[in-house]
Amino acid sequence: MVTATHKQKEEHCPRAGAGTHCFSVDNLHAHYGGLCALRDISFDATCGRAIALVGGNGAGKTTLMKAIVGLVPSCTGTVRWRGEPVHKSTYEIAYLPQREDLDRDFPITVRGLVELGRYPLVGMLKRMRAEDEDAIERAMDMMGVRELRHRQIGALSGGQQQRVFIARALAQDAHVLLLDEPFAGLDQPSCDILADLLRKLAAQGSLVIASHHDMRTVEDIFDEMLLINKRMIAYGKPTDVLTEDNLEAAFG
Amino acid sequence: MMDVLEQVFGSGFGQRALLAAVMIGFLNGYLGGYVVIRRSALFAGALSHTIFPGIALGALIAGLNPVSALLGAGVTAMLVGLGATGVSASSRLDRDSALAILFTAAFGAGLIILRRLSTYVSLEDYLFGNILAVSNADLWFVFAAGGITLSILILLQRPLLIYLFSEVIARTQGIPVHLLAYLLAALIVLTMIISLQAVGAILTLGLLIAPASIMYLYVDSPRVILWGGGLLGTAVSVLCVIASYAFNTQTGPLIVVSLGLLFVLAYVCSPKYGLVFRIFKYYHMRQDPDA
Repeated sequence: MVTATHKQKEEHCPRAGAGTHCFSVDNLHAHYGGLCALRDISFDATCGRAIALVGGNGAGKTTLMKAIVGLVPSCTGTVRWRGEPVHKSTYEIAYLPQREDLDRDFPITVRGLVELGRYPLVGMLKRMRAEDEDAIERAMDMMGVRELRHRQIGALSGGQQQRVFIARALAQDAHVLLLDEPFAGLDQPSCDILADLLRKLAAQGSLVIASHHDMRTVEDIFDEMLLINKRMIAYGKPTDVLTEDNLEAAFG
Repeated sequence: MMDVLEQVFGSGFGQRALLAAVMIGFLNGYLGGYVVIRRSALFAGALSHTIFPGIALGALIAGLNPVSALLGAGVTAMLVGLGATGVSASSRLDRDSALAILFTAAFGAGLIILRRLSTYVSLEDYLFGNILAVSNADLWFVFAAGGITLSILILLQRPLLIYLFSEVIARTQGIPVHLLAYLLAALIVLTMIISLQAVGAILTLGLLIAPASIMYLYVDSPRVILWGGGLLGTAVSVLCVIASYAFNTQTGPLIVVSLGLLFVLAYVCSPKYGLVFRIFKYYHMRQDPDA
């Protein structure tokens, strides 16, 4: 765990003026044990947008997100963030696994969990600085979980847990958020709250990429839509992507 | 009572036993926090069963002494731990099944070796512990190896907590999770070897798992579980050294029995997660659903 140069980041990527930072995936291929899980994925995006990743079961949505953050060893292609190829882990790109893959009974409070996100930036033994405390508080405010700070995460509703997990990623100064099925298992009110928050994150300069199932809400929540089925089918505004031909290619 | 305290604190072996209890109790309680949060007590249990055949193997090759015990236990634990991981990665069998086969086979081999050895009596100290027989050299080993182990664990607390919460998230943050997993397993084995003097190879699992499990039933902070487990481990170990002296019983069994009783107490009476409280809450909610 290395301490990232966090000052540098502040200078080069101010959150307020974001929207100009480019994120691009170029010709990404991923294999699992000789089987081709994904091929020919290329798209460009900028900070301040929300992108829906849509595809059937086994279309490779999780694989794509994992490949972007370097969790798929046998993948080729280039992922660029702010013009630089992403070779290894960077705190600015965060991947959040599906909620059911996380330990929801982990014995920790909301505040403690959000704090975990800050550790890689602080280092192994150093005390939290004022700016670290600020980042943690900001992340909790952003996701509206400040009042839950002393609650155990196991005692929260699914929607609250999801917001706390996203707050953890925000505390690590992530600008690109890759969310795996963030709406899965949430009731309607929780979905609405989360959708608003994702919109707000994008509006404040984050790039949100989330796998999504509900075609009725894609347009409301997301600016762009990436349709895949082991390969790239279409990418663009949801209204342009949601054609019968594309859907047939993705789900047919 | 004063007599007993005077005898324990006044004698060389009493003082050595108390010092050993402080270190061994804390080390086990603290490390146990990681094992309990990770829910890998079963894995630790399997490792603990490789200590005895390791000691027997070491004794067969080089005679029964601390060095042969250390090396023998280290080698068997590594063979079983790595072997099970390797088998599960390269076949359709899961790790727990492979582990169960390998550690029972190792334990059986240890029993066969034991019959061939003529040193059964002195081996008993390794099996069940005899903290009142700690020598100066033993004490140095306990503090040196225990100090190193604790330092590593405290130093790595932050990456370890991220890893325990989610291996995937830890990997995206560049934390070498495989290295951490092997390191944790190695430190568990080392801790069990350090603890042989106090509780022996058979009971060491209890001292490792119980303090943190008791804390787990009371509190929600990983840090409090770790440090609290350490303090609880120390307190129980020290008190049991004194009590075993007073009542002339073996220390190791007394430690794990005491921890067992404290665990039952926590299970029933913990204000947050205890049985009594949960039953009370259930009836309260049934009578007054709006509360």
